[in-house]
Amino acid sequence: MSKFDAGMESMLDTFVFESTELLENLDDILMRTESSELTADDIAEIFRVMHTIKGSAAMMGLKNLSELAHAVEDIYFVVRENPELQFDRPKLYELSFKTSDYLKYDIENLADDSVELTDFSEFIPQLHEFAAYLTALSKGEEAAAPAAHHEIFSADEPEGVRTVKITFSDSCMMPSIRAMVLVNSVGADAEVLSTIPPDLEADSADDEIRAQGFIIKLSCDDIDPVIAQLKDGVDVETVEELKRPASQAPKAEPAKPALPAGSSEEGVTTFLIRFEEGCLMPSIRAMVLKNSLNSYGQIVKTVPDDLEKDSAEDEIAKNGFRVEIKTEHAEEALAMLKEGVNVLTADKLEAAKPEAEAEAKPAAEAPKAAQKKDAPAAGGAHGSGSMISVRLEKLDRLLDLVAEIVITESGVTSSPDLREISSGLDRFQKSARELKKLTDELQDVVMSIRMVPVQTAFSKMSRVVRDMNQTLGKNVDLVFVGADTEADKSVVDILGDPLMHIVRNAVDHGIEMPEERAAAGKTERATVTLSAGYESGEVVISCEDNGAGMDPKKLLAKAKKNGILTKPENEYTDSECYELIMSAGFSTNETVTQYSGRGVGMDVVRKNIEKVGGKMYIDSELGKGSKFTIRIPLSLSIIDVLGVEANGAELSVPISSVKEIFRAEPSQLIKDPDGTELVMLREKCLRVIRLADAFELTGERMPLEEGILLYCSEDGREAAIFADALTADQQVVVKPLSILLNKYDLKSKGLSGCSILADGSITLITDINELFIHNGVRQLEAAK
Amino acid sequence: MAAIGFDMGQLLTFDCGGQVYAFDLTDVTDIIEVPEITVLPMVADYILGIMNLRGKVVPVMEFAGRMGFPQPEYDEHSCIIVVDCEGALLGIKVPRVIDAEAYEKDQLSPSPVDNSCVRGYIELKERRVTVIDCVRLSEKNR
Repeated sequence: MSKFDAGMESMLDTFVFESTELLENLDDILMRTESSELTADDIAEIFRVMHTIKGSAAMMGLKNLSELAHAVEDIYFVVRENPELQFDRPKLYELSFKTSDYLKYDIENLADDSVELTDFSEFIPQLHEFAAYLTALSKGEEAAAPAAHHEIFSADEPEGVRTVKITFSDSCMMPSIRAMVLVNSVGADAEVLSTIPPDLEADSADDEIRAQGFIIKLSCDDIDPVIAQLKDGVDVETVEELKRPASQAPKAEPAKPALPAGSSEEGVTTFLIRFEEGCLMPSIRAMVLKNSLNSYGQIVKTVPDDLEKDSAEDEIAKNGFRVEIKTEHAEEALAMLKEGVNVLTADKLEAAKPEAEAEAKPAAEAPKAAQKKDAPAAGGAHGSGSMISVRLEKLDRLLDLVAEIVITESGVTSSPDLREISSGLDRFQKSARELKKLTDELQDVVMSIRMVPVQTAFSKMSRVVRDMNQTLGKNVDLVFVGADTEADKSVVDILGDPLMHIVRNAVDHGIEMPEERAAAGKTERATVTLSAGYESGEVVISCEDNGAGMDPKKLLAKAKKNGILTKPENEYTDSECYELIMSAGFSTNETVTQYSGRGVGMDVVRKNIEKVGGKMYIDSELGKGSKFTIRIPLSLSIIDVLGVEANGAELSVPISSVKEIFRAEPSQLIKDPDGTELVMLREKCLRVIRLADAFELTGERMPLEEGILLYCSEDGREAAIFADALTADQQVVVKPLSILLNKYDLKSKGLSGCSILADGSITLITDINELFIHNGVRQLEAAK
Repeated sequence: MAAIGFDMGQLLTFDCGGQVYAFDLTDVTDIIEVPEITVLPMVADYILGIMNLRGKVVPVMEFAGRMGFPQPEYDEHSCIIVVDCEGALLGIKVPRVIDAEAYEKDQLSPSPVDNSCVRGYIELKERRVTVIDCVRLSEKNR
């Protein structure tokens, strides 16, 4: 069985996305405030997060999640109501972080039917307990009111109201949902005034309906069709109309609640609208009414003024919805308002007498003050400005389409048919140029959309380090460098897991315990530095710690013990020793902790990175620390390349690798005794690497002085690349080569990917660093 | 064409050197004219290069070369069959496509050879059709 309600599949993505974002926001707040002050705004924001998750989880039918969120919401409710309260804050944070993790886990695995929803029946009581503790602290204020016992017939119920009681069959899973459906279905024949229980979204609604049945209060002319309709409802067992017992008949006309005063401005009519208790979203209803009122006159003011605010719901439920409108058709407008869905009462308020005004004022100002208080919180939540979120696949599709448009555009404007009409095309040519400019710009914009800063992947690590500091007591500082480096969204997403493993390893294995650090005479704070940057068309992410470092001998001994050595022990270089930790079945930590397991992590990390065409390097110095470097190609990101031709093949060299482009004079060229071609560039003697040879392209060998030489430098290696001709200087989107070509290992031979050019042709992109390594270019001593 | 039931499948048959071969039609995503193919260096001879399939870069393999057959004659009927090899697209150049034909799955005699590109053999319209496993053909997991 699916985990969530059938019919909600279409909402799954949105739910997962929104909830994930909310939870990230929650984590941010928790991290930020844990060691500092928890302000009222933060509490309100956490409350909002939990409230939203509760609501949307309930909508999805994820009862466990909504109950969990509800329990946390209760806690923050108490905290919010008692800002002065002193309480056990570490406990609050522990519970909040735990909740955040639980929610994240379940939401992440929502689409995977093989992972069961977590049962929180043990955790939720803990939350309740804490909420009770908080409540007790706040001077024994009464806990949240228990499920109210609703009187079926209230004393002030007007006559003509019909009461219908519905019971559902025992097998009905979610009677509250069924009840909601019924309420909607009778809308055509009758007006639903209220229901018992009033709030069908409340978690208690299901139990209440099961225990007491579901009661609808209606106003209608003929009850029979309504009852017939209700009987047709799914899972409905009985439907009966209840009659008010004689003794409960209203004794007297109840005193009408005193209406507050309306606006005293001339020509302005003030309406006060109250919605039924069962009305789910009064602010939406209010908005609908406001829109319809627009046709009667000009709306001067509404209270609450911003219906989109979260607080608007509560305010409307409490004070009603107040509209001041300049209209000459006040009566018609009033009639319209009374007809509105879920409207309980709509009244025209008389102009205020001076003394009444004084009374009304503070009342009207109170909600304003409340809104002001809420405003900064809302601002914080939406601080990212006007953003929308789009599915990545849609962007991919858009990018492909734009590329197609660009190709088609050049196909149209340079169509061979046009050549036959050589004259009189001036206006066409002008428009064509305009079109080209626009399509180019379009392509630029679309490409830039996909770029996101690596910050998103980094900031998740703060949480990891925070948790580990808590349990391991290592007080590690996490430092970010270059977090604003942009990479393609998919690359940033891929980085998440490997980074997590590496950071965990750095904190758990790399950084020593404070006592050990002190013993080793290390005075600086334990630090893990995450940095990001670009290098030759790749994103380079590194994680450096100032911990104990790794002992190559120890690694080697361990590897030997575990039998994972592949060549004689004495042939291993230091860097090869470090690489051993990325082999399957390797762990140097004596005790296995919850954070880093038995060495199954690093080999998986390496595999995942290699899967996307990346590489991982490890460097370490005993006693000083270790550095893990990940290089991932800027898959699908834009790089500047020089197009070159070599024996007929179109190749592209990333401009970032090229230092200088020159033509060689015969006097500059040297051939050493082995036949290796060399070129003197000023005082430097460089090896010449013919692209045609490096890529085994057949054809005639062009004399060096006739072609073009690119002086390239990469990671301490330098050489001159020789090509026949320079063809273009362009921006391209790098696409990795198909995984079907993996067995040819083109990447390590110097071909990192390919790109589709504007005319639809394909160019191959070279990786100068790999090309140098593959062709045995030595690294300069200085760079080592 | 016969109704296609649970035990029925469809094959895309093509001719190569007078023999009839087939891919399972569910693996086939496109059949296109031979486009411009960018030569890829340092790969096997039967990898003709890469092509642009509506914005995707897809490697192209010559069927005959991959199977070790002599090079057949290519003409205007020659085309590229694009197959989906467990998520990765592969273009396969063949001399000519014949037809899409329904077959009963239990009529297929599986090839007894391990790791063969041939999934099995089937008799269709009195010809023997060799059904190719495109994932094996692609050398994907090597």
